[in-house]
Amino acid sequence: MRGQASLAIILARLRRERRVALVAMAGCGLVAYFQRLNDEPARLAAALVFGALTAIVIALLQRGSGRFRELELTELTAPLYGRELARATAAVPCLLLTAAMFAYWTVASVYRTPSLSQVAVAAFSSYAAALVAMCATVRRGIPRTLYIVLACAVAGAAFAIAQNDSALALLFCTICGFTALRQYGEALARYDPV
Amino acid sequence: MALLEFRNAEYRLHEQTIVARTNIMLAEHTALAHACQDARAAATVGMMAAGIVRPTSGNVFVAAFDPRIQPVQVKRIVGYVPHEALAPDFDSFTRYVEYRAALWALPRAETVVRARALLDRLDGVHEAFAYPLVGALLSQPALLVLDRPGAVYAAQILSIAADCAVFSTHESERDAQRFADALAVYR
Repeated sequence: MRGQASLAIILARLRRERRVALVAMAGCGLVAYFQRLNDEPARLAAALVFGALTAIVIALLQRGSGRFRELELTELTAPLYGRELARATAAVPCLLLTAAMFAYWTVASVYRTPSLSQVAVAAFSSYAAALVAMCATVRRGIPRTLYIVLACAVAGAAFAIAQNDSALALLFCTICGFTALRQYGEALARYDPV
Repeated sequence: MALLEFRNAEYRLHEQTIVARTNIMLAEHTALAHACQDARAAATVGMMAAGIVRPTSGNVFVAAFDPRIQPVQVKRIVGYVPHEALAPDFDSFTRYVEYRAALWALPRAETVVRARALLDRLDGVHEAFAYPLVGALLSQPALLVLDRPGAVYAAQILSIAADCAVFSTHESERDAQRFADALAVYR
């Protein structure tokens, strides 16, 4: 992948998403504030649920919603392979989620210092949910709905696994995210923006 | 050899025929205004010619490349101008050109200078059309695909795309004829 092209795609899309980033950060910060008196598992659950929901919304806004129509058409007419385009566009929701998760854990840490494993599981499950939801953006009908449900399920499964082993939860999220990214790249190569 | 060829190309979506079976041949350095049955068909035919939509049956070839197999090669040959107006995504024309230069791996400074020279020749053209038109020509494509261009801009289009073959799609026979006539006058 040409770094210059991916950077251009990421910056152009992030420029458009400044407001979304602010809303996501404010929302996550607010959830962290409401959760300040809860125990650790409840806080992790909130971070995972809200992170996954934010991930899905941001991912669904990336393609097919009409918000990026001109950018989409320009990217699709550029001499880039589907997997290259997929990696660049998938980086956008992941970066926005990083900002949202940063807001969550910054507010949460004011009341109680979170463990590193909690922060990592919340971040990785949100990234995985975003990448699975990205697959929904290039599909229509039932497959689209199934991918959204799957994105929600990733967060739930990550939480269940993290109760026993955080490392295993991280591995699960990494595998889910990597598989989803490959799927997204292949689907994007065959995608018709009609 | 035809630069653009539609061979019984058809596009269907959800059992609905968007583009009926189409045959087109366009040679290098020529122009063709193609009339479609409606706006959606015109947009789809334009995207098929640009290699971003694959026909559901039949074939499209751009300089003998099949977009299904060699999409990147096709996109190096084609410059595409969509019908939709450019949204204010970029603070300035330079930013927009730099963005396109990065995507097409073109030298940044040189491309900006070239883009400004092209824009200067598009006097009187609204920036919503001028910017994408200049953007499409930055990579010096052999084929320029225009989705429903206005006949009023025919002279300006020809002035900066004289070296390309020009393929335009239109939502009616009348629009296509008007554009073809305008091109013939200025060519």
